[in-house]
Amino acid sequence: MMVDEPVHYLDYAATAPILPDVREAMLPYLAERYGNPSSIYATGREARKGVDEAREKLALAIGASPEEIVFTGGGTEAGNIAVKGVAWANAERGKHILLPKIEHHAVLDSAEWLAKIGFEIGFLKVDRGGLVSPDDVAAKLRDDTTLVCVMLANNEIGTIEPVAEIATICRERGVTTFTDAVQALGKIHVDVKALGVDLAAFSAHKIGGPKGTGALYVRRGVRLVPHTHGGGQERGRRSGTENPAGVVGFATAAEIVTGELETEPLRWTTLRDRLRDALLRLPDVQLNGHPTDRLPHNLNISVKGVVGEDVLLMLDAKGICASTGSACQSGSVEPSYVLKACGVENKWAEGALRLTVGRSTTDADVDAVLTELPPIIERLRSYKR
Amino acid sequence: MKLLAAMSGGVDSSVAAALAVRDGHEVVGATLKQWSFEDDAVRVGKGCNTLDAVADARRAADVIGIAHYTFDFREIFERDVVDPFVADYAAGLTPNPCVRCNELVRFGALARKAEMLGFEGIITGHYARTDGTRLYRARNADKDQSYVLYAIDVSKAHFPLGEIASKDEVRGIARELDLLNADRADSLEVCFVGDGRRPGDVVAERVPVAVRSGPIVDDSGNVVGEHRGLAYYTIGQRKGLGVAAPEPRYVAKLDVERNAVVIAAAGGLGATSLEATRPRFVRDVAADGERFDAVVRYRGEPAPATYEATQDGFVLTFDRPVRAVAPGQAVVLYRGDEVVGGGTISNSA
Repeated sequence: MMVDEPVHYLDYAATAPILPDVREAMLPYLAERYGNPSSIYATGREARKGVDEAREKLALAIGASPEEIVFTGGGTEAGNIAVKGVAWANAERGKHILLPKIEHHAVLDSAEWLAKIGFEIGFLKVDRGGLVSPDDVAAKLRDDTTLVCVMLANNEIGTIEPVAEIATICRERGVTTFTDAVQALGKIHVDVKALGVDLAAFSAHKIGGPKGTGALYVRRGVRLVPHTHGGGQERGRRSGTENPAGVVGFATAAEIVTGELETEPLRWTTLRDRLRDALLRLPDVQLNGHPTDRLPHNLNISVKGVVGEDVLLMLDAKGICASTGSACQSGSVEPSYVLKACGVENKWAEGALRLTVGRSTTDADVDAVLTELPPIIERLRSYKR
Repeated sequence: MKLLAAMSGGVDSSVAAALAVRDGHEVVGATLKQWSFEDDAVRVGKGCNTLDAVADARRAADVIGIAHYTFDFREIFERDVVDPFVADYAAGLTPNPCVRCNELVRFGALARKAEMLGFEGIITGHYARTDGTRLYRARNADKDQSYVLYAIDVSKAHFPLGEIASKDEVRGIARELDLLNADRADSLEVCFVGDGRRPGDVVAERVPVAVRSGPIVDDSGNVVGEHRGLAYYTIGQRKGLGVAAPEPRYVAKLDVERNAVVIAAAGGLGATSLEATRPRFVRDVAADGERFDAVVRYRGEPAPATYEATQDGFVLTFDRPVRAVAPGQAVVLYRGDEVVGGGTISNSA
């Protein structure tokens, strides 16, 4: 609220500040390299080179081949292209799609929209920690199942799903698998070949790249019907003039964060665990998500007897940036649909608080939370609702 | 002081927040999401609660330079304002939802939330004045809104516009501050009814059985026409009756038992007394025999009356008959410019 106070940013799952090297890498494409990558003259060729190199870099970062990368306008668009594109491409073979209810809205709402136009959705169970069971996938696969969507890591609770096992089961049955890897990239090793998935969605701004840029990995040979028609860019999967500055920034960020995977996540885990251990010692506070199978930077707790939004407002007044769950749901007091799907009771779910650390987070940020949050909880609990 | 400004996106609440900042208060803006129209993106009304209103309020807060939050108050608003509004219409009453909204939502649930979050008071763009213990009409009599505020707890209320003499002055300040919505028209409709719709439409959607066509009868009991459903009529209403008569006819009564609209000539409409329930007093409870200027509808003329308490409210006896006293509406008791209290009209005679 007060602009001059120091800001403690603990919402890396919402977005991450643009890395200085990313900004530097983007600047030429916002200045002299303004050409359209499809143009034949020098500035166009420079832009093309930037896009091509970005595609190679990102492919390397996720274990794909460059031609398997489709750049998009963000993670949500990537998810939409994947879910709808695969469903349409296989509609003659079957119209059954499986996914857990904890998927991001980009996937969930795409699937629910498909259900309105004649597709059928089956929901995969998740346990209290948010884990999907490969056995449940195997049991629910049908002859007309064409697509299984299981996110690599959940955006609210950080649970890491057994995507590789699920992909193996699906592959044996000839079913396409899509994983939303938006939250996982840069936090854990993401190798699409090792995972064995057919499609995977990524977002630039979650890893210190620019907003409005994402990518979809589409394994060679996967059938996909495009939904943006036009100039045939991105191999016809996503027409529209490429965004050289955006994709160069994205690839630079991907290169940096995957290069730091051996060091940064350990640091985050130490910070996160300090927060977790101190906050779980407060009365009537519980951990949401899985105790071990979770992203290294994610903490999600429920504070009984308070509304998460009230906590956020009071933290904001102290310069602490946190979230109740998904940023897409702000302004709504509906308890998190993810926690609901995990079987968390309303009285706990409404007091959810997500703290996600990142590259800039220090012990001082953790100290600030541990100083400010307990009295806020105490104050809010003293008011009868 | 640390104050929370309830911002509707309109010029009044924006200027009110700006004036509080100018006066040196630490202000944060908040817009209440009160109502979901079926398609917010399409239905862009001027009410307190559309997505447009939230966007306008946020822009105003940006211009003023204060933080702005959106609070989801849909459940509270539904329970405390919309449901009773529908129930009242279904019972043949003509409710004033703004009275309940101010009492239970703005200066009720929102004020409690604000206090919990560490704010010392609530700013609204209402035209009224308060010193924290008493409530008065606004300096600008034309804009006075004290009628819809009689039931609130004034201890946390701040009305920066109450001291301002004219609406033009408010618009002037808005332009000076470069508030983009300075020229946006004021909302005159009930915020959740929607553009081009009538309260009866809302009631018909929710309680269809309560909105059935029936007879229009004159005061002798003769059927002289047909009505669309009682919820579309208000006591004192003249237009839209579709009844041909040598002299104007007015709605005199909504007879729920017979589902009939009873009309009468002007002479037959005056009430010499009324009964009210849900009594609310700003500070001191009125005494039997006390004299007040009573106002029985928004922007209505004050009528001298004598007060007498009853078990669940009060009775007012007017010096001269008062027209169009509609059960469900608020009756507000003034002593000069001061609002002493009020109640909900339950009956008139």
